Amino acid sequence: MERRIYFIVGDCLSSTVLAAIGTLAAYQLPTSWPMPIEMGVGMVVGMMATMVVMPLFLFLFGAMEIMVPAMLGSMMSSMVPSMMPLMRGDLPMLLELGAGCGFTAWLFTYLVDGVLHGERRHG
Amino acid sequence: MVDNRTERRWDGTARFYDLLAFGAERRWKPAKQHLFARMQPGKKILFAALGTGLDIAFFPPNQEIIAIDISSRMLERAKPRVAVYPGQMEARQMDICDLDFPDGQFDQVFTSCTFCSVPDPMRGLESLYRVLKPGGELWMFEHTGSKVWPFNWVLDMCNPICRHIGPEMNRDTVANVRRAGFRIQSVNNLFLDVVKTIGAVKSD
Repeated sequence: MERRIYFIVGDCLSSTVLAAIGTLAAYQLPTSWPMPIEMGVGMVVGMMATMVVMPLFLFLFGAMEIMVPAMLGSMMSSMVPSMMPLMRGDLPMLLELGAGCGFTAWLFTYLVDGVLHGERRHG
Repeated sequence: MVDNRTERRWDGTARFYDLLAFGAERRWKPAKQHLFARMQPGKKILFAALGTGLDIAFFPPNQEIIAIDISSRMLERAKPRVAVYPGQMEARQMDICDLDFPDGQFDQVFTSCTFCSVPDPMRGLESLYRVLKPGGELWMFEHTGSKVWPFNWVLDMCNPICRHIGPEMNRDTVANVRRAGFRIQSVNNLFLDVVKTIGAVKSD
């Protein structure tokens, strides 16, 4: 399990920032669409936007360790705008919620990593 | 014979490879050093795939290593790193699925982020099995798919895009190693059950 501060902070930062970017991308979609369609399209658009920005974080902090929580966070965060129609006018609040999704994804990933980490001997 | 399509793909990546791998190499330096510390002097070692040679810095000195890669441009970039390795090292362009070595040539085979990118992983692993001596060791640093929800779902979703850029995200490399005839000795999860080292032997 990761214990170096640089990477712990980097993973957390990547996940929260990339999830917020997912929210921002999904926010650009029209509000007139039915909610399920907006959620589905928003998720795809948000994840694509995350993938475009991700190389910067990959360069700084790693590969799969950045990608897995970031994509998980972005999957959730990009559905935020369509799930919160009453908050459509409050972008900063939506971005905070998106970043919160990223933070949750990072925390969940770290907790599961704590369980799975380590050597299993066979035969 | 080299798979030209795969060669072209990695030739195209060679220029940016060090930049893309910079973070991951920094992160996994201790784990890779630990894995490569299993290289034993006096043994014949095959390393696949060399890429631009970033892993050479983690090799212990005084080993006898033949390193292969499918991409001539990657090998071109690896040249200066091969030249300064304090041991015996030779880099050759070769397809892991079509190894130009006799049977039972090597005591140890090492791979590093290789089997996410080999188009036909079973052929590649069977090829490694063939060139290993009976009782020979296979040591791998790989990323694979996950068996844990929701990570397996995320990796499955990303795979159609990622496979066009470079690696496959959801391969079951441990099962593939077993299917190729190896006996798995250890699996060490480094990040979730996604990034891991795998130790296996060729049965006598």
